[in-house]
Amino acid sequence: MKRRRLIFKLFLYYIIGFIPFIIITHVTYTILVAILIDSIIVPLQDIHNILKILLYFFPWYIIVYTIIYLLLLCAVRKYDRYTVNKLNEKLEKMKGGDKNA
Amino acid sequence: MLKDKVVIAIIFTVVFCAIVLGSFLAYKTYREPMYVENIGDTVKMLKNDYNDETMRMYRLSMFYELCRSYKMKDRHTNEIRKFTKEEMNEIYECIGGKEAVLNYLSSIEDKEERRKELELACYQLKIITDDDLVKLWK
Repeated sequence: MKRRRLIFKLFLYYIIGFIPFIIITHVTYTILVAILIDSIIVPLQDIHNILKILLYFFPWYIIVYTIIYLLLLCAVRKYDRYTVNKLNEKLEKMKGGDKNA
Repeated sequence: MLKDKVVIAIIFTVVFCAIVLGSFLAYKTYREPMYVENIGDTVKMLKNDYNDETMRMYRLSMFYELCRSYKMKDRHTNEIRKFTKEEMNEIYECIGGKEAVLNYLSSIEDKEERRKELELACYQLKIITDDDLVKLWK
């Protein structure tokens, strides 16, 4: 049950992070393409093309975001372990100090 | 406090990576080959000497688009043709270059027609700059 909850949480965080990731990537893409091609951004026109562009680049979004997500998970886990080890060391030092006293 | 730092670091990483990916995809799109219906026909059209000045403007616009990647890609067969600098120079000379377009635009007597052609050249085809437009508008 706990494991299922954890997997569900991780999946939820994945989705919560994926949506802003797509939005920021698409906005950056639109602005830079407009600058490079020396064109203007017409929001109404871009809304018609948005689905087409998102579907075209969707594999890129999924692959890059998944890699980033997994790297962040590993990094956070390692940081957690480091923090716990540091706290354990402090605790042992305090215990050692108490024994000496 | 530590948890806040971790969350901020994660958000910063995701936003930064999104911006980098967006920039990469934009550059990739900019450098994509020019998609055409038929490479042979398109090259013939670019090199052909038409008497139509409006056609010359369209050809110049296509040439500038080709300059981004120096490649043409057939939409149906996916064949890619790469152009050398010499071939590009040859196409530019066949078109007549920007000078020919500027000469044509400055020679139009009718004000209404000149305005239309200048707007087409500057805003749609992007073959003349805003400075050229201002000089020729007078």
